[in-house]
Amino acid sequence: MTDSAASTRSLDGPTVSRAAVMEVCGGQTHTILRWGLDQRLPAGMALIHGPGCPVCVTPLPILEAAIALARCPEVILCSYGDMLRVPVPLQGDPQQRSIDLLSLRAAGADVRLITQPMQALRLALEHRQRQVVLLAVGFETTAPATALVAMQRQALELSNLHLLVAHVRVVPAMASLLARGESRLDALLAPGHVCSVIGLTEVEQLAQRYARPVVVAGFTPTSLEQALHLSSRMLERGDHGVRNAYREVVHPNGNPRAQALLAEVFEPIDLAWRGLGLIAGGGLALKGAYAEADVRRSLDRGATASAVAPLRRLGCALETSTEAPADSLCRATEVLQGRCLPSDCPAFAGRCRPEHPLGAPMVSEEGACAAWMQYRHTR
Amino acid sequence: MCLATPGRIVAISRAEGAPEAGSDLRDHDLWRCALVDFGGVRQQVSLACLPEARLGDQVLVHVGLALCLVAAP
Repeated sequence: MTDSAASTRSLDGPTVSRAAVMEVCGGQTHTILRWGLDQRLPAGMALIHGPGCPVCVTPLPILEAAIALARCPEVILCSYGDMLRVPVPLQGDPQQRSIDLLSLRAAGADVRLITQPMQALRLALEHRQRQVVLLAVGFETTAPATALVAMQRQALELSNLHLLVAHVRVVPAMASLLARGESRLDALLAPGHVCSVIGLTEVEQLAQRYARPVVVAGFTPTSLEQALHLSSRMLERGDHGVRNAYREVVHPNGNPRAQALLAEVFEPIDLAWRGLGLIAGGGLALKGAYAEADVRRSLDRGATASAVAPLRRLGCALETSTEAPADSLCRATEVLQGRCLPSDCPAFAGRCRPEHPLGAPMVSEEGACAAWMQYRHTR
Repeated sequence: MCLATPGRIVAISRAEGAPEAGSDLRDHDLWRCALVDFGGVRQQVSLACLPEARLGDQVLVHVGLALCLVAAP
């Protein structure tokens, strides 16, 4: 029971004066709040929740495209569970109502919950007369699986499988947060599983460029405590650079095969993250021959590829908004930037709850608002 | 989505729906699969990114794709 042992021991790192450390990953936010690690920090250290929640940062136009596609009778739209519950504001609705993919499903749309993208491939094989759209989200942990499916799709010449891609890259987002300097960050905890894919080179460059300590952390309370202890020591000594507190999983070179898959199928693009704005190199788009699978690119360009003809015949218009008409109460944007705590939001635990979320961070299992609701809210 | 629990490989196979095996090694890797036991729950996962994975290995899996071998503690 290493976990319970960790929870009863105090975090006895050396004392540093007033340092803000951001845990970038939403999965780590949940562990930190669940085990109360934020209440047992070295004196003067404060934790700031980062934007590492793919569901929370998926751009609204992508979700609107998913809703538009799911309305087409020939479309089977599939995605991960949390994505199906994110509220999407209805354009021009005077009552400011919103809709989500699960409620479309209740109204008869063919929306499927999947746990791995290979299930979308199987659906496309089983339903050759239907158009299967995979709404693919996530960081470098889920992007390789999407890349694999894109390659398998091509090998099988499976033209009725389409990808709606909203993959995001974590290091450009960390760089953007450090460059803005809105909330002063003294050190960062890097997400261990992303690093197990991309390796440490990119993270090392970031740490050198911004002269900050960056500690690669795992997801158990013990691993996170160790990472916090290391960051505290580095801050005290005025060190910068990368330390790996998750060696059992993270190899300095990452996973070369997964990197090769990503390089084969995707190219980095500038992407406007929901809540954070434009991030240089913050997204991934299908490239070269794989772009044929990109449902948005194909429809936007009016491509002649036969693959998208069925979708266009259905009139799957992808008119999407450019500005998010955010709910006036919801402060998700500031939560994602680490500028306020979920409990600072006037809608928290009142109008906004996991059963009827206003903002994406309350929906996702990796969202900071959901974590506060689960572990910190008392009636 | 970035969370993952380790599981143990109990069988290795070729993915369902895979085309006939070609001579291309990369093609072979694209369809290599394993049955992984997560504390009693068994799931088919791809080994495309872990060509070195063998029976009995502990792996971390993200959305159906094994991405790292977990070193023994």
